[in-house]
Amino acid sequence: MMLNDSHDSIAPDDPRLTAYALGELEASEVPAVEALLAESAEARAEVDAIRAMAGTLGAELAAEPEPGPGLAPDQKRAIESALGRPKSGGAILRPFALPAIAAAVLIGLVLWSEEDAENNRASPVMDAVADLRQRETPFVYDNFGAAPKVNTQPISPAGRTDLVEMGYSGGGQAAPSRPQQTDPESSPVAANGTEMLIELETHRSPGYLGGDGVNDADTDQDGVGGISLGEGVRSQEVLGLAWSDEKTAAYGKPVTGGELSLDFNLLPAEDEVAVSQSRLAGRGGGSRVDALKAPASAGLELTPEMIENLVALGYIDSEVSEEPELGLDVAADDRPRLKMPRLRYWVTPPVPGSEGYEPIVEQGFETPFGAPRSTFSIDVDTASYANVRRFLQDGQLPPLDAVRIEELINYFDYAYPQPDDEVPFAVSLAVTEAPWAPEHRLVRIGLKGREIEVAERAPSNLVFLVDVSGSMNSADKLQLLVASLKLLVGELDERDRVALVTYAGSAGLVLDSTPCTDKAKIIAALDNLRAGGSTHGSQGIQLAYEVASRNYIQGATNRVILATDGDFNVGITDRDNLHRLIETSAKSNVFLSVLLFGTGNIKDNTAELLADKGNGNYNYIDSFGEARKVLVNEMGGTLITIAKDVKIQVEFNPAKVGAYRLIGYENRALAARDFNDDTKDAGEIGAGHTVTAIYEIVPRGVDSVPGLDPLKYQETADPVDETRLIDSDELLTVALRYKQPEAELSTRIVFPLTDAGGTLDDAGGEMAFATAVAAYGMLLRHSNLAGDVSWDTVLELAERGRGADKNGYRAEFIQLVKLARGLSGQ
Amino acid sequence: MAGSSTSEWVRAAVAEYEQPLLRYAMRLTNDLERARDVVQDTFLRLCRQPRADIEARLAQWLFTVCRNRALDVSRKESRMKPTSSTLPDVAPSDMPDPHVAMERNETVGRALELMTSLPRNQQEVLRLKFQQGLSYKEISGITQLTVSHVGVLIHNGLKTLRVRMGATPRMAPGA
Repeated sequence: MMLNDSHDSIAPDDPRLTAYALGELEASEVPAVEALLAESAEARAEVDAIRAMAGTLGAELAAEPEPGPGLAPDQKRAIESALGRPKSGGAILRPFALPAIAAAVLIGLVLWSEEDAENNRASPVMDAVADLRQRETPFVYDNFGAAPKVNTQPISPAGRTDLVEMGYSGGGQAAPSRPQQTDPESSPVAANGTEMLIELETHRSPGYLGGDGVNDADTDQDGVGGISLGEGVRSQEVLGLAWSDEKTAAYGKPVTGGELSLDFNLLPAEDEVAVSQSRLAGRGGGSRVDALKAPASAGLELTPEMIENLVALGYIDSEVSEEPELGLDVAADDRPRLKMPRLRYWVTPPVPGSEGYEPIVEQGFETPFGAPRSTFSIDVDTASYANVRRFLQDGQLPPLDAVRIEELINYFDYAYPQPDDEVPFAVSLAVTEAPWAPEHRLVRIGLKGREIEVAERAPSNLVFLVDVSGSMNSADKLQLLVASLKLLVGELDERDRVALVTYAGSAGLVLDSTPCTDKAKIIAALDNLRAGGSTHGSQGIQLAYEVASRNYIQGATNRVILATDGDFNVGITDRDNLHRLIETSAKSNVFLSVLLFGTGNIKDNTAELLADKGNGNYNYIDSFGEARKVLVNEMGGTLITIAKDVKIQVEFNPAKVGAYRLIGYENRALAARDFNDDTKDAGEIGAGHTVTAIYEIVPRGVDSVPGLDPLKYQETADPVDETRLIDSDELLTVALRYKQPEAELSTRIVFPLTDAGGTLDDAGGEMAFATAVAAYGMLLRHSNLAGDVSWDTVLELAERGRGADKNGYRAEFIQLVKLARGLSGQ
Repeated sequence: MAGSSTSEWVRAAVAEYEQPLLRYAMRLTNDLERARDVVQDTFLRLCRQPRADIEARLAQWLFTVCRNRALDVSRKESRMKPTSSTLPDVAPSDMPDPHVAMERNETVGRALELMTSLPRNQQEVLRLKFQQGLSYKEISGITQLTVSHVGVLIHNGLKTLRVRMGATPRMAPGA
């Protein structure tokens, strides 16, 4: 039964229409249904009705009260004991500590069992191991049981500099406050360089170890000398093991027949490291205390017997519970050293434990022969800029993947001309030289969205979807969020409506759609928000979309504004379902904006993806000032979409262009054929928004292209076959496609560009500034295409492009460049 | 939720799924205490599972186990009560839920109310789909029905609800 055989045979009762409406239809059947929908208004009405019913039902189910109290405490305890850690009154080891000890003990087993199996089996170590095993400690045999693969490699003194050695035996220096400042010369281990690393390949959990990161020792940005991180950087902890000839390390001379000791290294989340560091620093330089900071989450507990064994062995002190935030103190000097695992730190990881960033792979150069066109979607997000600013202001260089250059560039408003015809935005092109490679050209494509006077803007139907989960309970999250949304409400007027939906343990409609004539009611609802419960995003978002479509205003701004700290737990719904929901809603012209708050937990990758799927924008709000920028100064751009699915395609003239690359926009690249495909989603541009993209071009005739070796079988010097070229002085042609906000079909506009050969000195202030921001991003990303551009050049260009700077954003940028320069040690 | 260990992972699963599973088990057993037992048992079983085997399909696994346990419990109960149906009794659906009744107001709850009049199997899949946000495929795995059967149940369920709600609810002008 083919869907398109006959309309009568399918509508309105084919389950496939329901499946389609819910995004559950097999991909192979989608075209048939879509063909039907294109023809039949009846079928479209049916699909709408199904979605509406699904929305209503989903919202009501989401609002259904919980059936009753959850599991009883004794039921939960039963689950806890099934996890192998019954309650005990003894010292408490926090979650980091237990795997640490388990692993350390187990390695002990691996190393010793061959030579002295009998002995060890009777030892307390073995008892502890057996105990841990019996309790199904997750770490023990699951991860290491199956003959761990061991790689050994000496650590070079240089590689060692990244390792913070807190009061390591014999060294006696204070714990450095920042790992970068560790002096390799004064580190006892580095000094004699005899320490070996053991790399264990775990079989289960990519969060621990694995990969081939040993080679990273010298250059490792992640700052973990010699230990492979693999996935671990982003997981909550990374466990590494190092072992050394203890006596050599401690006393600087080898001891014959010396036994090996084990050192256990642990890489907890950064914020925890920071706390411990400050505590340790307070204890004075010479103290030989290795400390393990416990996370704030619920502790794991060992049985009294296990603790006794471990204390007897000197793995832990029995007094640890006095300092619950320091879960473990280790071995005082007079304890026997041999065969004694001890705890200490690896360096601070630059990515806070649970922040998530999508890896970015910088686009290299392409040639007009290999790829005559370059196609991408515009991006008006600015979150990366604010996030990078947070890192720099915290005194830290940002993780490379947190730096999205296009978002840095687009943070700023550029003085491009306004559109003067019916096209909703104007395009301005400019060419100059690249500060990092003067023989290269930079082409700037600037879009300026039509500005809409406040009085002329369309009414808006907004649904605030607010995360009130427990993690939001801090001044930089819920309080800032409420203050920000109040700012936005302050800008609204009688044309607008606002509803408030929360999500946490249960989703709820806090305030049904309310006209802004009753702002007091909206403000009161915002003021009453309290954080508590765990995040459960999917029900909340379903409800929010339901409320938005119930109050849909034709021709207005219909938008869900999701405000969260980014721990957007999609819960039972898998991500795909959520994405489908958001995409489907975007197609019915309810768009999504994501406002991200807070630190330490932000899921940059999730938020960006959600906003992309939802025809939306994504902003990171770390301060009241940023809230004002996004929600007041740029409210038009944030809320009023004037064109959607804006795509840019550039065709390069091989007679002029030897190679090219787009700076940034890595995750916005489109296939050339997607340009004319109106079903392919792309970025939106808001009222008054400016969007800037920069291409770097290696002119034809410049021999070397960074990152590419010369070809062996072709003339690389000048491979252009003149006879195949259309004669033109143009450098390139920029084509754009866009749709009106509620249109289905796109419009194409084209702009050719000829390079007049201007130098950087000739370039205007706006071009200079955009160039400075691009170079700043490349330096922060450690781009190997950044040539020898210096922070000073960036500053100089930024100063030149500072202009009137009404809001002071550019002045702030200059401060950030100085900060970054300082942190880079230049 | 990149858990630090299996224990943390289980705890996170408990935190996240306790209420959803309880809701589901409640519908199947029609008894809060029994539902709590079933949910506890589900999590106890989770503790014994190798994390890697089920991590990727955790929700489906939990709901499947929860469902089977609930059906087991119901079967046992029905054997003990000779008067009840010999079929494995999956929760009489028209039981008024006191909590729902308590919180109900005029605007919310009409669809829920009407839903109680649907056949039980439709109610179950509608809840799995729209309350738990599971996909057809996951629901198929949980209920042992084919994906297309799940599709038919959801389709029919929604359709009946629409008819019974009278007029089609307001909807955004889409297409």
